[in-house]
Amino acid sequence: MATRSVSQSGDPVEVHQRPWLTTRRVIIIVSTIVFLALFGIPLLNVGYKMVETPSLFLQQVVTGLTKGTYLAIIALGYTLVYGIIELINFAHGEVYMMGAFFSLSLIGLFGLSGESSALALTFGLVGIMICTMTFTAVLNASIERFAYRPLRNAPRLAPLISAIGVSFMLQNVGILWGDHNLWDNLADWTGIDRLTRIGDAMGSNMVAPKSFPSLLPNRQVPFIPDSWFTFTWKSLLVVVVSLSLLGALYAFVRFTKLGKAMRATAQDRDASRLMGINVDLTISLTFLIGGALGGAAGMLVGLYTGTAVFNMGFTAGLLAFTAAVLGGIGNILGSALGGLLIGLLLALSDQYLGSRWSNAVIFAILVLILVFRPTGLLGEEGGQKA
Amino acid sequence: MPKSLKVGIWTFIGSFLFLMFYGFQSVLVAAIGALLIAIFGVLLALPLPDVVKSGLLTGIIGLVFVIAYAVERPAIALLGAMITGVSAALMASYRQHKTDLRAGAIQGALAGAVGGALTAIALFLVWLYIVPAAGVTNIAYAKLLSETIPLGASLGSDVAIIGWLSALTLLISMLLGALMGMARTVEGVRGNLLSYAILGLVVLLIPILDRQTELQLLNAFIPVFVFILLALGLNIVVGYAGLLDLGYAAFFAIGAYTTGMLSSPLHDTHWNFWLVIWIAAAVAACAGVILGAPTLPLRGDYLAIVTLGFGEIVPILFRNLGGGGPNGSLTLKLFGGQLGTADIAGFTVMDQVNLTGGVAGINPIDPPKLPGIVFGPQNQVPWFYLLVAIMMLTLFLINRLRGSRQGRAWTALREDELAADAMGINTVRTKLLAFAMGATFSGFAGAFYGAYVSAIFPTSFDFSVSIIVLCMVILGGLGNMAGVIVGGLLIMGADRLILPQTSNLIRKVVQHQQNTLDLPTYRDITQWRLLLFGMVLVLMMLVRPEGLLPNARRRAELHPDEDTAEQENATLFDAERDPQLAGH
Amino acid sequence: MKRWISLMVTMVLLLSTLLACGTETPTEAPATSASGSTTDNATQPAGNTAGTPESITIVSSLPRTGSSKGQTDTIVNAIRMRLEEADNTICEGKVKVNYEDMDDATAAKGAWDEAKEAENAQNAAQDQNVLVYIGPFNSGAAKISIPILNQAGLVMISPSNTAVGLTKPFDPGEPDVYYPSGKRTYTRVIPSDDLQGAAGANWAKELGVESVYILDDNELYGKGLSNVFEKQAKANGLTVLGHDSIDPKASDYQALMNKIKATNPDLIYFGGITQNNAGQLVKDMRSVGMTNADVKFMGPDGIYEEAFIEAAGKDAAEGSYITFGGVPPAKLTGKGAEWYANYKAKFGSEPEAYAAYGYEAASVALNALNQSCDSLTRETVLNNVFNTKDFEGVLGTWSFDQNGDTTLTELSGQQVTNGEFQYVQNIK
Repeated sequence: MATRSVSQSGDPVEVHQRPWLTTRRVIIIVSTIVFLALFGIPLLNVGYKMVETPSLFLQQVVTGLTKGTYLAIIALGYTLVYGIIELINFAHGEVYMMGAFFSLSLIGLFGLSGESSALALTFGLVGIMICTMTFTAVLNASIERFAYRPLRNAPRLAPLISAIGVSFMLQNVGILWGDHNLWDNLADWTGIDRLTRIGDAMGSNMVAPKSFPSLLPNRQVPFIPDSWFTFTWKSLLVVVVSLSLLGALYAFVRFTKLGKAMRATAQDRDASRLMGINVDLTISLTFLIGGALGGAAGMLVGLYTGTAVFNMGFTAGLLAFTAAVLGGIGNILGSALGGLLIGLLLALSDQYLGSRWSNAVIFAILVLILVFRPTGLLGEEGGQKA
Repeated sequence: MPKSLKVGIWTFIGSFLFLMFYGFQSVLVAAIGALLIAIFGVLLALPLPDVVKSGLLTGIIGLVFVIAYAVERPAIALLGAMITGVSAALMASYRQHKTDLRAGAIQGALAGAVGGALTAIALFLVWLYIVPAAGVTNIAYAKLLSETIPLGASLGSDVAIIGWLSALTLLISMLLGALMGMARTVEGVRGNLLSYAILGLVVLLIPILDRQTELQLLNAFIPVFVFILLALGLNIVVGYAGLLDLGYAAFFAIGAYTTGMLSSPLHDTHWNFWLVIWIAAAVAACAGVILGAPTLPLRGDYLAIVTLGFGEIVPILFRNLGGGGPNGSLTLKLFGGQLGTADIAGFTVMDQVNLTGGVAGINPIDPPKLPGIVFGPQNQVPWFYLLVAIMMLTLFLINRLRGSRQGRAWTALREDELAADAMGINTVRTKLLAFAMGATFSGFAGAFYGAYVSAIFPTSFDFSVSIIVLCMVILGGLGNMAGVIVGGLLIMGADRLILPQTSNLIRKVVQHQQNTLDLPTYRDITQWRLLLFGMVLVLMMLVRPEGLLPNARRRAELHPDEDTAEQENATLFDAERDPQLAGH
Repeated sequence: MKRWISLMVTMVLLLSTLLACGTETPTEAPATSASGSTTDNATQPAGNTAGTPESITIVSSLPRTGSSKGQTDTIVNAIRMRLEEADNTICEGKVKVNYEDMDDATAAKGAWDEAKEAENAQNAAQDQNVLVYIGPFNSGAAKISIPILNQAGLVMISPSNTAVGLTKPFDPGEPDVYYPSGKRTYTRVIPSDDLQGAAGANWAKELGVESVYILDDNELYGKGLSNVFEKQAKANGLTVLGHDSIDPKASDYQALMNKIKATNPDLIYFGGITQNNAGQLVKDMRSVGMTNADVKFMGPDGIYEEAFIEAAGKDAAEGSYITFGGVPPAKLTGKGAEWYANYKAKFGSEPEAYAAYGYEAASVALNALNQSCDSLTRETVLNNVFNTKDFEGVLGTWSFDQNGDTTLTELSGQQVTNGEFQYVQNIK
């Protein structure tokens, strides 16, 4: 709104200065005061505690950031899909869960365990990771093909419901997958006895959490002294794999021709089609990549935390999606940043506020950040999208 | 390849795989089952007249209802006919609007007849195949029929009763269809009111039918209606104002907790329900404004995620503000001089006050009191009528709101916020009012729900509630109340009535056939419920992406031809602005 | 046009009159209808001779969808096993027993739902063939179904509710608020929180623990137990270093365990169930370096199941202490020993807590039904369930007291050794 106009004599004169005390400012000031009154002293306390035992603080920062890296990888799947078709892909969390189940099954099938030789482990795990990523990539792309593509010109919220439906279906698949009877019977029908090993890996109870064998060494890495903070090979591996996936994805989108096609499609589907980009193929490709990342994350988390359970996708998905939004959805580096931030906040909140408040803290901070930066931390300003 | 054939092939492959996997090891059985399902798919995809198609689509509801329930409660066919008839006529009139009263009646009656016929066919299927398969003897079933069907006792033989029942089914379905069809031909608010009057008639008849035919379905219907009430409220926010709200359960929780805290032994305040329900609505409305305020600068999905955040925070608050250490002590440790050393003062205060009952929830909540009528857990009828009264009030209010200046402002806001702002609409007020109004109705729903189940728990209000309500709104048809009601009936009906009952039935059949209780866990159909539920959502979206009964404006939006010009302009504009793309 | 409308309206009116008056019962005011229809239903099923119906029904109402499924599968399997052992009959084979496995969870919610539990209870109450109601699983659900079934005089036997207030004074007004008819109709075969939580704390002291960190899963069962544990631990002179509620859906608890490690406890007590991530908790506890030798882990019967060891992994679960409200299956004699052998043969694993409780609930039900053969009514069955005295079951020999609680005060403690639960000692 204009605050200045030109008077008849031609001199610029202040006409109706908008009052400094706008509604928005009043809201912000009042809520800041309320916030400080309620939480000011506790926050001081938290600060004091952080300084009191710096080593613990450091340890929690490291733990949180490690968790953040795998959240970031899941968040990438959301951000890629959102960026290209503006769909909150609720099924992505479940694709991640399927990745964990698939890799656990393969680990069971090949009989990898903590006692396997280092060489077998390395090659086995790399192979399994490739298989898992392929599986989830194909899964994700077929979901797109059958559940989202027919709805491409439908109202914006239709694919959202479709995604929720797919997510319910995959959760159920996760439940059935965990039934050892199923694998035993499959082994009977097909005559492949090895399949019973998958059943063994699933344990006796179909919905109970499934346990990964501990395949990654849980020892302190040599280049960080114990006295600083604990950082194990396991964590290192998670961080390294996650970061390299992130880097690879960034490079792919930034520097390859296909990546350019993705960006163009994200910006304007019709224009890209006019430019000769195969839009359907590009979207499929995005889903393939997103799925592969989800599968990789599923396997990584499985190896890191040691657990796969049919509803793991829902919570992780919620956090990861929040991370993606926090960083500015559609922005690759943004979702990485969001993931790290959320991991960090979770760890610190567990330490200093009590874990039952952690989720509330995450979402409260999300709201705060979005109030001041309405398009996320690294999101682009402006431009209303229809 | 024609679309219908494609659909047929896919449904065949899908259902064949499903049946094989589920464990009909005989390929033939699975193939026949899949073929039946595929034929249905083809029928739906064929370019049939609108009337037939609407009848077929809605007839599925009656069909599924009958298959699921008729073994135990054959009178379900009558209920199925009522719902089918009304919704078939509704859908037909949405697809092809008639202005002539007589044409409308014929259209509605035809659609209702197709739906009713499907329901009646299902009745015969149940009688011929499913009843014996589930191990119910002919004699027992004949007895059940003569006891529960109106005039059944005087008809005697089961053939006669089944014939009579299916005739009745067809008749009811046609009649209600015709009535609805006629009501739809009347233009404007009066037409809307007429449609609601017919819906209301059906709803008011349900308890009578339920009692006379021993359906015992009222207690299952009440939660369904509560969720429909929620969906109607959410429809204001999402459907009218176009603000995607993923945390709607928060307001439901606030309404329920207000009721719980004001009329329960928790704080020993036993306020009257008739007062509390208004307070609950008011508190929820205030919460709507407070939670809506931070979302004002946000657009699109950023708004969605913030509402999602509130939806997460509110139940956590209710859960954690239950106070009480191991002794249940309520000592106030106001900052307690422990600054900087021991515990975090603010949170300690919160931890110590028992505001909300914590994880144990609030229990029991006082029922409403009216002279001469007992609201008790054993007596569903007054609850049902109370809920219907609340729904009528809601429908009336929303109907008025929608046509008002405010309602038009919401539409303008949804269509284009910038333009609305430029036209002098106060977007801040409009948005906040949408949140507040939406929250008000979920406040009503929460208050009723709390009193009805007489207990509330923080787990009752998690993310899944928000999601389900959203599904109801979108699937039914954004911005259209009739659609939202139908969507709600479908989704909640599937979740709470059809799926549990079908899995019971299948379990019964399988047990009778194989004469064992010992099935491998994966073959227990309850394990498949989530999958079936998800499939229902996906398929319905694929079949009718704009929702079952879209509102007129939205339908217009969907025709891509009208929209492209606008889009292309925007495209050009974007391309010019963006150097990266421009240089391409 | 007017003619069309009036014709239609007349038809509808006719139709509704037909519906309303179709059956013989005269139309009553709606308000009194439910009680009316209940008595209508009271007619005995087909082909009965005076007093003894051809078949009766036992229902269970448990969350069969979603995350509690693991435990309820075990319970339902145990109930079915017990019924099959009796050939699904009572009264020397004269009366058939039907079993209906009701679900009080909904697919969309994935957890128990209060309206669904109310619906189940109402359906059971209205079906006069139902003589026993096994369940519910969650104490919160019990608070809803007890008043409903209490008015119907239908006896409830819960295999898993531990909230104290259901049967004994706890919160203001409890337990009387749940029993509007004034007569007790609710029993449970599992000891309530006040017994098990305290027994855990006493055992901890016996084990030489000096400081303890308490966790719970922020649900009714876990929180109730851990609160009792905390109280008793303080009374026993143990240092309680902290009490946190975990987020049962989190993917890992590394940060929480770092925090706990810094406080240096001797024991971590977790009040909760396997499905609420008990396995992950133990796993992360070990992975941040709290070894079994330094820090013990203790949990209640909610994690006394094979799935816990599987979820935590044999290595991490090793050495965990678990309390259980009964005699451990392996130590049973008589009927119990037989069951133990059968269960092992059938499922190939050690019987679990919920299997024992579910089996016991079904046994008590059948026992009471068999004693009521002369008149199979709800009232006699109710009285006979409450009269259960010196019952030799799989949990030991016990009775119901007048509150419907088990008299079993001897609990047992187990430890995970070599990846299996091993009985250690009795605790009190």
